[in-house]
Amino acid sequence: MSDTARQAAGHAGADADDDATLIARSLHAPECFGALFDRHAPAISRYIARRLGPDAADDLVAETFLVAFARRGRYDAARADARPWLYGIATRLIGRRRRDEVRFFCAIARTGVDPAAEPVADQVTDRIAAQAASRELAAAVAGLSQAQRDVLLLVASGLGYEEAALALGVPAGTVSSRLVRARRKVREALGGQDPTRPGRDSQE
Amino acid sequence: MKQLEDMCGAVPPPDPRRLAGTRARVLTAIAEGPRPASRDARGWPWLATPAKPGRRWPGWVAPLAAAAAVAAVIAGALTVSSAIHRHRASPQASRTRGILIGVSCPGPSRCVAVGEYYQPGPPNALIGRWDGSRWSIMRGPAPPAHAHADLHGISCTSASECTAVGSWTRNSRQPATLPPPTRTLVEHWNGSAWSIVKGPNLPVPSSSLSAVACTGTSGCVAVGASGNSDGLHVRTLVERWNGSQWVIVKSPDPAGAIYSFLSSISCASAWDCVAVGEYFLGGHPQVQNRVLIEHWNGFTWKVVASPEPPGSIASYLSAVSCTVESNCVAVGTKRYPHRKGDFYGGPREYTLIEHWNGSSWAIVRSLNPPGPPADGLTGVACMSAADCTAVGAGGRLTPPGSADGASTLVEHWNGSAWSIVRSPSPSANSGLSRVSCTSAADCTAVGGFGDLDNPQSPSTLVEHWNGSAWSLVTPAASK
Repeated sequence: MSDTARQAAGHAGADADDDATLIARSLHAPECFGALFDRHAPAISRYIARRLGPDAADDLVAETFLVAFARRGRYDAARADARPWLYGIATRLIGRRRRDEVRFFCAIARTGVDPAAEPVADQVTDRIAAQAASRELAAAVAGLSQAQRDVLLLVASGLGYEEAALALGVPAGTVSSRLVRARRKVREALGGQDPTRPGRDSQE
Repeated sequence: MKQLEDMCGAVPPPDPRRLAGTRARVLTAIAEGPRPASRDARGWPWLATPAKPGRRWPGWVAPLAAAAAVAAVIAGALTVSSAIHRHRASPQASRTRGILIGVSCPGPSRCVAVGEYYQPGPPNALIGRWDGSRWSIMRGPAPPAHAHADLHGISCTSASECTAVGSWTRNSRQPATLPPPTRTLVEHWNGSAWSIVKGPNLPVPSSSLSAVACTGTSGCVAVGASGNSDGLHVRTLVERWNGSQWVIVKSPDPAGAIYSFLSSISCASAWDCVAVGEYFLGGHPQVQNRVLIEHWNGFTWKVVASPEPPGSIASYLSAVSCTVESNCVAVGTKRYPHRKGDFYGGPREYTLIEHWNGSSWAIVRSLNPPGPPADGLTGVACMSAADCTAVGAGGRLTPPGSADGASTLVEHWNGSAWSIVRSPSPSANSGLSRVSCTSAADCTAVGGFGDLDNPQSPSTLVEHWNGSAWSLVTPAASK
């Protein structure tokens, strides 16, 4: 088989492999890591952009995948889905910039302008309403502890409790309790409105 | 979490062009290879390099003043009059951000070390000399045009007779998915100058030499591997200097191995050499590298049966030292799966030591320092059956969110047991790569050290054993 044919075959195989297999293959064929990047970088980029803004996302996405590449030998091959692992690395890197993150959310709260979000409405009144909501929410998120913010934004980004627990390296019960406290704080900051159930007040 | 999901969902997908740029940065960094604080002589960065202390990745920032200061002294920046490979001279080189990978001391107060120094772009070869009072950078020969060189191993039989081996790689202007091809590199020191010695290469994309052992001016053997750039179909490579030229010597590979690689060689005589390394059979992703030991009887190389640590998912040998035909010690790393409930994530890695008694290899009980199970030995030097020194790195606990840390690790064999010997670690990410001894009271170990915020930019590290304690050869600025 020619090199070109082998590469093509390798890439075709990469598309079909689960994350654990890709990572294991990358131990001996580092280019396989490119397939993992293609698969998960867009979501990781959005997650980082949500927490630190779009300008910081490029660098941190690169750093996330370089850290992941360096630690691929330590990846638990029993876990087919690498998302919790990658989100965990990204979260730890974000944690080093916690002051930047708080400043980012405070700026949204102050100005109502969310640099990470795309325009949500054309009507001026809708835009103002959206800005008001995001200002309150951003202020509430900025007021959370780092651990609570990690849990809240991981789950809001689509990870389940178990996945968030894997990402943060804590038991699922800890994720649950942190989430309860975070939601309570946010609800209080929003004047009793539960961000998880808009339109009605709710109790934990 | 409706509102929060809306908030997160409002983030648009990343710009594909920016993401493509980020992808190129990542793949370029991967292709350039890791820049750890310590490393064994496995010269191919694109080969499987199981994660271990000192193998760090995050981005490059300006070096710490402390690191630069120590590196400057080690590199002889205050005294040195020349740079490394002469066409590669740069201000960065004179500060020696880099690591030392190999060292050979032909006599007391005489050592030569090789490694690589870092500047923007690919690493370049570094040669340093200890004259008993200070280290200085040696002027090396220029690598081929538009290429950079790496030196991984060195063997000196006298102050005027050294051979260093490694590889050279043509510089790539474009980020590439696959690393560019490499060719073996042999350099010779005749007492007054270094020169490149022409050597053979197999008709495969990549060949690299990891280590060399010389038993006299007319006898040197170098080991490494050759194969495809994708890290597959890699085979052991052995070259021998017959007094007038380097020739390839046929070497075996374990049956069914996807790749096999020799990291280190030690010769008790020209007719008795042992090379160690690793091989990989492929298959289940949890089953990884295995120990490889080969023996040269003066006529042929043969694979020697070697024990695997029971229950390990991977193991490899990084260095070997033989004093006589019936006494060899090999050191490396063994890996076990992550244990549920462990505070420290990922598989567990421990030191591995094996001993040859003249008829068989056996695993010897080795020690591991307290801290995260991320330990490994990468260098060993034996003076007798009752005096061996092994060096490497041990896991070090670091704050959450930081890169993994490492401390230098030194162990000593007194004829009946191994013990850990206290050694300095100039930073939270320090490691030793190789060691060379001329007596029980004179050993020199080399490696690198960096900091956790900038773990990809280590500085060279040299330590010395005077018979009672290990010390930094040059005082490290406190960090």
